[in-house]
Amino acid sequence: MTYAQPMGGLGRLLMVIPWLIKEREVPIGEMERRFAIKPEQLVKDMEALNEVDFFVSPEQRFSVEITPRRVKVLEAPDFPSAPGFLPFEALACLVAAKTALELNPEAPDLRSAVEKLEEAIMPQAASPIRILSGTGPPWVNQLREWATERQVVRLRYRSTDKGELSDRDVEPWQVYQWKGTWYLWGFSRTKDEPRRYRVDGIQRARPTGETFRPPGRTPAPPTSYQPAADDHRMVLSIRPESRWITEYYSMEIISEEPDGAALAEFYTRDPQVAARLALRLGPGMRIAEGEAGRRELSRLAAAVLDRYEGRAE
Amino acid sequence: MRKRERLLNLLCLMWSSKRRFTREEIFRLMAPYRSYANPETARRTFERDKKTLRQVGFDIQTSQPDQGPATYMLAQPTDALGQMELSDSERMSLAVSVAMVKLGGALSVDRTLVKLGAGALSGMAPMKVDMGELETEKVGQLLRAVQTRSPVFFDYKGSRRRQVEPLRIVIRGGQWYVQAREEQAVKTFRIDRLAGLWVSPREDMYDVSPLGEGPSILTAEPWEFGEEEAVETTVRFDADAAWYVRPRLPSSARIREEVDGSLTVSTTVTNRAAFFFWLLDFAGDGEISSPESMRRGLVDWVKGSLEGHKP
Repeated sequence: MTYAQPMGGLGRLLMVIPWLIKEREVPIGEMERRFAIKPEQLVKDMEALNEVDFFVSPEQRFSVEITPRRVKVLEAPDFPSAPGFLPFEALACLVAAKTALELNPEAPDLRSAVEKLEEAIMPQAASPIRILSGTGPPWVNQLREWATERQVVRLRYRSTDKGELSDRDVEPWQVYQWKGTWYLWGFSRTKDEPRRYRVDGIQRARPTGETFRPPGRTPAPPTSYQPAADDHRMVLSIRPESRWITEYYSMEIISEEPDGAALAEFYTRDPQVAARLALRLGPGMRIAEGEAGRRELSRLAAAVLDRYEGRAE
Repeated sequence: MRKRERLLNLLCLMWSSKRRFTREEIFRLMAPYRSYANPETARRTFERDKKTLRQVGFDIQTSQPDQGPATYMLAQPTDALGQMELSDSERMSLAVSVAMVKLGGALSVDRTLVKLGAGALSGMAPMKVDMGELETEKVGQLLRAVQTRSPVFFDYKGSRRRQVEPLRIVIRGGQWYVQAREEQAVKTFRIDRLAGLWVSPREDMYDVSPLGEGPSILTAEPWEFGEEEAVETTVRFDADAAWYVRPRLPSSARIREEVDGSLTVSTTVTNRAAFFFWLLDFAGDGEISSPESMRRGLVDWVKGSLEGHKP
């Protein structure tokens, strides 16, 4: 059995007592499962409870009888019910359940639990919580299974920056969603380093038949770009109407104009990242410093113009 | 007096009496607080005790009337959750979901698991879903306002103080929003940008049910809610990129799969800059088929990206 991070002693007691009073008599195993508490700790907690003086309701005392198999409440103050969810806990629970349901729409128990939870939280509101995300990519569940089974997978992957398809052998560590996008985080045998892959960029995936041993402590998946020593440095000149991109890309504002325009420092492994951004933003952004980025921009722009006009400008 | 005993008695007092207490009343009923020679020490101890109880999952609400002392009550706003009568398999489904989904903010997953009756789970799948920073206090206030249909007031991005009727919480791309009615219009606000949030104590002030979907920045694509003249635009995507493009198409787009596997996609554009930004992410994969004005517009846009780079 895997124990969740144990709650502190007091927190645990405050959870255990109302529930125990409501149930009156419970198997030790049930308490162990429900509260992630080891039996010897449970016995200590119960013994400590026997010593508590409930002076605010002096007509009542708290005493429990502990046997190797069961805990039985003999006397207890009048607690009306076990603790319910705080509003944000109920919300978090619903968010989690709806996200899981998106991935497993055929799970009837989860669906009915979500319906009950939603009705309980806001009986009169139509869909009080909405989670808007892209359609769950078809590979998410399969990749998760391969990660669990520690199977090396061969991905036919389209790179986000270059749009190029290639095959990569990957040791999958974790599937995760960040800012609404699903990623696979693992060790690329092809690149010989940890890499993350957008799941919606995977055209095909299959196990190679090999298994792998994950590192003792898997590094946490990246949630922002970490520049490397040999990254290209660019300075981007961003017009006010395009300033919103600074919230979505890892870049640092180095100067600002009164009209809202800004200069931002941008590090990238591949200059095509900055070039593609400049292309997409049109007149809204300029690569002020970074010759490699400018060259890539010219190449990308020429390809688009060739497609539309039949000639490169 | 041990802390444990004091806290259990405070909890017992507030839980068994579904009413509000002033601090003076609590002190009168609980000897441990009275035993402090210095009233300030007693007050600080009480504040710490409230904080501890909140940290371990009890919702102690404070009410500060215009006149008179603050009162405290142990809220049971989600009593209905206890009456859901979840089956064991439903309960475990919820518990597994909670364990899988990582929420930022102050949420204790362990506590939620315990409340679901699943403090220990075996062999969790290696998957995490980061739903962004959950601002527990603001979200809790807004959720309660939707439940009680109470108007809320806040400052937003430096504008005048606003009064709105919260209707729904929405999460998109790890960002939390509240959809609310303001002067008969349904608007969307980022929760992390709400400042000075205050919930009116008046309840049942509006109806939450007739919330039409309508155009919203949350459900529409950026190029669909601009103010330019609407242009029906068609894009043809190459067959070999169809697998990549299709999941990225907006739900509102009309999509036709051609015999050769290519995709013909039609959408209404009212913000050209946003549309070109989106389309050029597929730079080599597709081309605007019509109208000609949009083709010319895209060419000008791409030339514009080169403008500042010419010597």
